[in-house]
Amino acid sequence: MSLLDVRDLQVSFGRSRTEAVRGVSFSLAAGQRLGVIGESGSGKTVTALAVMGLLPEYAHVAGSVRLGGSEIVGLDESGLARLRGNTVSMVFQEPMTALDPTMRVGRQVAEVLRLHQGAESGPARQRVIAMLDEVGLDDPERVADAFPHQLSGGQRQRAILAMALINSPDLVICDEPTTALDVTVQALVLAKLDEVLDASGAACLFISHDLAVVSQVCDQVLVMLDGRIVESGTVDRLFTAPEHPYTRGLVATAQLDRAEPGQRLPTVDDFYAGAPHG
Amino acid sequence: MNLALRVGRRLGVFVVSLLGASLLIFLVTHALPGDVAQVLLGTDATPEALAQLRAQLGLDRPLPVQYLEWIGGMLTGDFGHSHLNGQSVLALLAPRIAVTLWLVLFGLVGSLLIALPAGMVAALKRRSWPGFTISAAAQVGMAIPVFWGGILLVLVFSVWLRWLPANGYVPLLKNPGQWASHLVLPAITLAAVQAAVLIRYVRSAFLEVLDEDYYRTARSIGWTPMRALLRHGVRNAAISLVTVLGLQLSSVLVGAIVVESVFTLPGLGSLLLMSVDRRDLVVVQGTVMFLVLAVLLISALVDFSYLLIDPRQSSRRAATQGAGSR
Amino acid sequence: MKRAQLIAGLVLVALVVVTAVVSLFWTPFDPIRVVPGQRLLGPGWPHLLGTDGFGIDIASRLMVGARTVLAVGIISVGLAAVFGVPLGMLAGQTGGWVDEVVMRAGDVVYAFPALLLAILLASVFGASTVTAMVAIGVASIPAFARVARAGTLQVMASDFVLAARSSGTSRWGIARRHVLPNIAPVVGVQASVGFALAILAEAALSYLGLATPRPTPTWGNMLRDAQQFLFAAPLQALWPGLAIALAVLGFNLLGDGLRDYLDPRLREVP
Repeated sequence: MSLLDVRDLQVSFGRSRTEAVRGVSFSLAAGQRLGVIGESGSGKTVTALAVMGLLPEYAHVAGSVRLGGSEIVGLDESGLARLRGNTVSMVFQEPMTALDPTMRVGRQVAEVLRLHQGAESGPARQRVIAMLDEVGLDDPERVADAFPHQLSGGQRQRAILAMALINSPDLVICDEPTTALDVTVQALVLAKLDEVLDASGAACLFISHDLAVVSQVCDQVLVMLDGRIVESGTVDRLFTAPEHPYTRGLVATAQLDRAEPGQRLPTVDDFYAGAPHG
Repeated sequence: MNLALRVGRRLGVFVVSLLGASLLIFLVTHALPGDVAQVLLGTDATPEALAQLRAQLGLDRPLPVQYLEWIGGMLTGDFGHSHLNGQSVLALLAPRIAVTLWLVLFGLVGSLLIALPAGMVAALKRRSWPGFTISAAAQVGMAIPVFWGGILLVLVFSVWLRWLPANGYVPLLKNPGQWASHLVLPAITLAAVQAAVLIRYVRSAFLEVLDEDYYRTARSIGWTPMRALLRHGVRNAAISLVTVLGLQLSSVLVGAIVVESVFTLPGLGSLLLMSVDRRDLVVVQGTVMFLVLAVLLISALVDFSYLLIDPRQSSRRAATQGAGSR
Repeated sequence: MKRAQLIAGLVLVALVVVTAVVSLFWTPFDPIRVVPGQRLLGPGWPHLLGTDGFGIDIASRLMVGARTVLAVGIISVGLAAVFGVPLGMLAGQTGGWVDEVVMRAGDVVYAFPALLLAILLASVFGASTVTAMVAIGVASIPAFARVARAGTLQVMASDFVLAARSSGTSRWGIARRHVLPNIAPVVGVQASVGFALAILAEAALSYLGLATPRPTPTWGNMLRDAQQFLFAAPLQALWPGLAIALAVLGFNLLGDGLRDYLDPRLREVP
C-alpha cells in the first residue's frame, strides 16, 4: 500500500467556486521522492495544502487524499492536528516569515516533540541541537538560543527543515523551499535536504517551478498546468524526451546554459502558447 | 535604532508633552477672557476688593511670571492652595488617589480579561456565529455611555436584586468585604464599557496573526487553531495591542471620573467636579495637571514595555547574522 | 451584510435628525414647564413614556434633547475638522520639523480628553452648551489631523502629484486640487465616527453637570435627574440612555458602513 494516495482531487475557492485543482491523482510510496512542477497558479501549492488539510475554510475539496491509510478529506481539525507534525510535515517557501519572531528558534523546533511525544524540555533540547547540527547549522547551540531575526534566510530555512524532520515524519512536503534564498545558499540547503531525507528514510513531495531544482532532490516528477497533471515520469525521461509542449518549454528553460551564445534565450512560450502568464 | 537612544527619545517626548500640557492648562485658566477674582467674588464685588484679591492671588503679575511660578511650585511638590480654605492641593488629592487608582486598575485589568478572550474568539470564528455575536455585542457596547451602563447595573443589582450597594465607599483597610462590595459595580461598569472598545482592536490584531506564515507553520506541526493562536499569537498580538493600551489609558481615566460620579465614590473625579462647582480654580488646575502627568507617565511606561515584549526591539544577542554557518 | 450596516446606520441617524426637526415645531407637551400635579407618572396615555420628577413629559424632553445632540455634534465635529484637516494636510505636505511639531502638539492634546478640557473651561466660564462644544471640538482635533495627514502622505506619493509638481503647480494648488478631494472620503468616515464620540462626550458632560444645564433638556442631564428617582421610578433611567445608545450606534454603523463602502476606492488612491 502506498503512503500517500491522491484520487481525483478537486479544489475550488469561494462562492464563485474558482477551480484551482481539477481532478489530480497520484500516489507516493514510503521513502519515495516526487517532484511537482508548474507555474504559480498551476495548483501545486493548493494540492500540497490539501494533503496537509491546511486549506482555508472557504475552500471546497472533493475527491480523496489517503495518508498512511486514513482519509484526509473531511477529517476534523483534531484528527488533522494528530497527523500534522507526526505523519506529515511541511517546509514553506518563505523562511523570513515562517518562524514566530517572538520565540527562540530552539523552542520552536522542540515544540513538535513536546506536542507529539510529550518530551521533557531537557532531553528535547539535546535532540533539537543534534537535529540543528544534522541540517548543517554550524553553531547549533547558538542557533537554538537565537530569535529568528538574528539568523540569515538560509539558517532559518534549515531550522525549519530541522523542525519538519525532528519528529521523523513519514512524509515531508517542501513547497518551493529554496525559492526565496540566494543561489549559493539554495544549493547548500538542497544538498542538506537530500542528505537528511536519505538518513531518515522519509518520503518527500517536492514542489517547485524550477525543473533544475527538482532534479537535485527527486527522480520522479509530475508536471502540473491549470490544475491538472499534464505529464509525469522520471526526471531523466522528462529531460531527454518531454512529451507535452509545456514540458518541452520547461526543459529548455532549465538548460539555459546550453543555449548558443548570441542567440535569444528560450522561454516556455516558445513551446506552449497556452501557458498562463504571471 | 539603538536602545538607549530610543529610551532617551521617548523621555524627551514625555518632558515636552508635559510642558505642552501645563502650558495648555495655564492658558485656558489664565489667558482666556475670564476673571478669576470676579468669578470668586461674584458680580457685585467692589473694585477695591477685586484688586486686593488679584494681588493676593498674584493675578496682577505678568502671565509668564505666573506660569513659571506655577511650574516651579509643582517641581518642588507644591501644586497650589485652594482659594476657599487654603488647603494644599496635594493634601486634598492624597486621600482620594487610592479610590481612583483602584477603579482604573480594575477597569483596565477587567477590560483586558473580557476583551482578550472575546477578541480572540471573534477573530478565530469570524465566519460563524460566535464571531458575529461578539462583534455585534462589541458594537452595541461601544454605544452605551459609561454612566448609563452604571445606572443600569444599579437598577438590576441594587434596586431589584438588592445584592450590592448603589453608592458610597469604604476603605480597604477599614473593611475589605465592604470595600469590595462597593467597588464591584463601578469596576464592572468601567471594565465592560472599556472592553467593548478594546475587543475590536484585539480582534483585528489576532486577524493579522491568522494571516501570518508562522501561524500556518504552527498549524503544520500539529497545533489546533486555538492552541496555535494561544502559543504563537498572543505575544505577537500583544506587540500591536500595547500601543492601543497606552491610548486607552486616558479613556479609562475619564471613565473612572464619570463612574465615581455615578456611584458617588470619593475619588479624584468627585474632587474635580466639586471644585468646578465651587469655582476653586487652583484645585481644578492642580488636579487636572496631576491627572495628565499620570496619563503621560503611564503611557511612557507602556511604550517601554513594548521594548521588552518584542525581541526584535532589544539589542542583538546570542547568534548574530550568519553565525559563520552558511 | 456591509450594506445592511450602512442602511441601519442611515435609518438611526435619520431618526435623530427627523426627531430634532419635528421638535422645533411640535412636541406632545411643553418640554420645560413644571407641572407639580403630575410628578413621576409611569408610561401610559397621554404621557407615552411617563413624566419626570418635575411633572414634565419625558417623550417631549427626549425630542428636544435630540436638538442639543445634533447641535453639539455638528459644531464640535465641524470645529475639529476645520482645524484638524488643514493642520494634518500641512504636516503631511511639508514633512520635516513642521510635521514633528504638529504631531507632537496633537499628542499633547490627545492626552487631554474632552472631559478634562470641559472641566477646565467650566471652572472658568461656568458650564454651558458652548463650553461643551469647544471642549469636545478641541479634543477631537488630533484625530482629524492624524487622518488627514495619513491620507495626504498617501496622495503626495502618487504619480499624479509628481506630475503636477513637475509641471509647476503650487503647493496650495496641489492641496486644493489633488489632496483635498482624495482625502475627503476618509475625513467623512472620521466625521461620522467623531460624531458618535461627540454624542457620548456631550452626554457624559451634561450628566456630570459640565454642559447644558437645566431646564434645557439633554439626554445626559435627563439621566442625571432620573438617577435621583431610581428607586421610585426606575423606568425613567431607561429612555434617555436608550436614545443615546441608538444615536451613537447609528453614527458608528454609518461610519463603518461608509468605510467599507469606500475602501476599494481608498485603496486605489495610489
